[in-house]
Amino acid sequence: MGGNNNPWFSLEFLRDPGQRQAFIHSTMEHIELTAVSVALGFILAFALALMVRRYPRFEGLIVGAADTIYSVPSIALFSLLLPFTGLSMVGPIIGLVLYTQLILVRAILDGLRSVPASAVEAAEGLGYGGVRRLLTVEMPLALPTIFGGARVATVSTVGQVIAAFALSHGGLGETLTVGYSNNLYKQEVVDAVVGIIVIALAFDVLILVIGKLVTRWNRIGRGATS
Amino acid sequence: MTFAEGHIAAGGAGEPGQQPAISLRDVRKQYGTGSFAVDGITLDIHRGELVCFVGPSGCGKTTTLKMINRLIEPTSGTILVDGTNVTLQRRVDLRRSIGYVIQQIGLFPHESVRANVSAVPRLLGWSRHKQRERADEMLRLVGLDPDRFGSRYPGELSGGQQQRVGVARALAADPPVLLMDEPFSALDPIARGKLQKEFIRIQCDLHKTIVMVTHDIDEAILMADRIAIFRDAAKLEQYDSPAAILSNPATSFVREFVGTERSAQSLGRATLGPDDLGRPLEVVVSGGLERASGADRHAGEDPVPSTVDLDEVVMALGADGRVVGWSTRDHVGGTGDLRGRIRPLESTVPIGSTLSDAMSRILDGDCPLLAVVQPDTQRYIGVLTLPLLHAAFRRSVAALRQPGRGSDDAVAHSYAKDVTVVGRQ
Repeated sequence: MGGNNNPWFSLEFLRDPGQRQAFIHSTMEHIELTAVSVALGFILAFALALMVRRYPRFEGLIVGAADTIYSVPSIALFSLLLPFTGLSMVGPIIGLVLYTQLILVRAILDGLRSVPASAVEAAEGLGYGGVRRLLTVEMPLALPTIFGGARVATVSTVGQVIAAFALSHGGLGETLTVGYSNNLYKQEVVDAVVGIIVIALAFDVLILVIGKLVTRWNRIGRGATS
Repeated sequence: MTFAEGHIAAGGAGEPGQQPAISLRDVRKQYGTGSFAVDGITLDIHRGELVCFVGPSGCGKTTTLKMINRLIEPTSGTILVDGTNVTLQRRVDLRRSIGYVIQQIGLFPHESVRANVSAVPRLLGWSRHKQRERADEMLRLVGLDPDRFGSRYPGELSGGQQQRVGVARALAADPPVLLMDEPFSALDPIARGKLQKEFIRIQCDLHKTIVMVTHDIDEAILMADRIAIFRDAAKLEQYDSPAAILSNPATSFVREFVGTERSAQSLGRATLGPDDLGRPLEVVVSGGLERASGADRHAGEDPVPSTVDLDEVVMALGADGRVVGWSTRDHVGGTGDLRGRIRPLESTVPIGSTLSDAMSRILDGDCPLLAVVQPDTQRYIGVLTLPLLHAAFRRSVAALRQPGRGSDDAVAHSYAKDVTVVGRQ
């Protein structure tokens, strides 16, 4: 690699302490933005899903709004947020959280709807209160679907973070754009892309494994009757 | 208390002074401003009784059942469980005190069998140790080895095994009342037959007050102490013991509804065998004690009771082995002349008669007992009461449901056991 000044892929530039610092910082920021946004997004989506369950007439409105937001290009959305949030982390997080809603609200609703009606009726008949039934019967049974949605939402968020460079918090998106504007510095660009892919895969596998662990019951076939 | 005696309480008016376990008073359910799903039902269910609600679909039987644990709120009327108005209790407290079994079983797929069974104890805040102990006890009760099945998930069980767990779960907190909504109808015929019989055995031990909805009159006849036959909007057509409904349908609707089923016909085909009879204490009386004199002397003293406890009955036989009459232990106890203390027993039926003949003899006579005799010699063999007749009848229905294996199945054994207990003690 030494002969070539600008190879496609090399970790050469990371030897420089300053560069390395910047790359690690970007990576950590990328992971942080993704994790925080998905976590907050999940809380918001859960609240919205419960609202839809309680007041079904809001479903069209909420899913429609999430749909509309999702169709706004991310750079445009972040730029729109700039006047309100400045260059703090709040801006990208708000944007990323909004993007997760389309997938997460639907996943939670679908998950809750996939719970066998018989289990719900039995829980009610045995004397489970509403909250307990939701937390100990319906949510656990909705988890396989919800985890599926969480994987898609997380991987998609890893991609969306890049556009947050518009608010100077783009994680590896920062590295990418800097490398790009820096005379198409291939090494930096490709390293950033590889980093993003690795982060996405790591999140995906992590959520997959957690999901399998908490829904072990789902791996054995559901019985003939139920 | 034996199963047979349960029938006595059920067939009669219930023990006086004891409030019914469940009492519905003019209960109505109306959806919106439309027609009534249940239009004013009034009915009592006694403690320890298994009552089946039977009727065509849409007759309001399930709605009525679900109003008892307030899964459906009545529009008007009163429902008392154990004397307490259900609408005055918190819904969750009410439901935790009433077992509930549904057709779709409804086990929680994400919980182990053991965790499923201890659902209500968990809600009631029992200690973990007690929950586990109770769950294992319940699993054994329904015929599942807790070591083998306790930590499995419901999805690993067959339908029949799952509903056993469903029954165990409903019984776990030892509720006095159990509601069952077509509990066995989703199972294949073999699993259903087995579970029905085992459930009868469990009920013999536990004496729960049970309300069971079914569309299957055969099932109702096999299992119920009393059957409530519903018509549109929960109009009660007849509420009586299985044998009484079959032998004496109150309306043409009942006759049609019941008459199409095989079990109704089996009453006319099945015959009385020695195992069907009760064998109370016998005394041989001799010399000059004739039926007529007994009858004369006894007339006007006590009214003939409508039900008897076979443990208390004493049969008086002549030296020739024929029946002279009967009495109770209090009457013949002590010393002295037995004359005047023995009631005559006019009605006899030869062994080998059809159950329906025996039934009409019992219903026609004013005596709660029927002596069963040898057809040729008229020698006494044993006695028959309505409960014993029910048992014999159910045995024939059970045999009918499982051709070729009926005679030596579990139910037959359990009935036979009860009959012996009643007869010999």
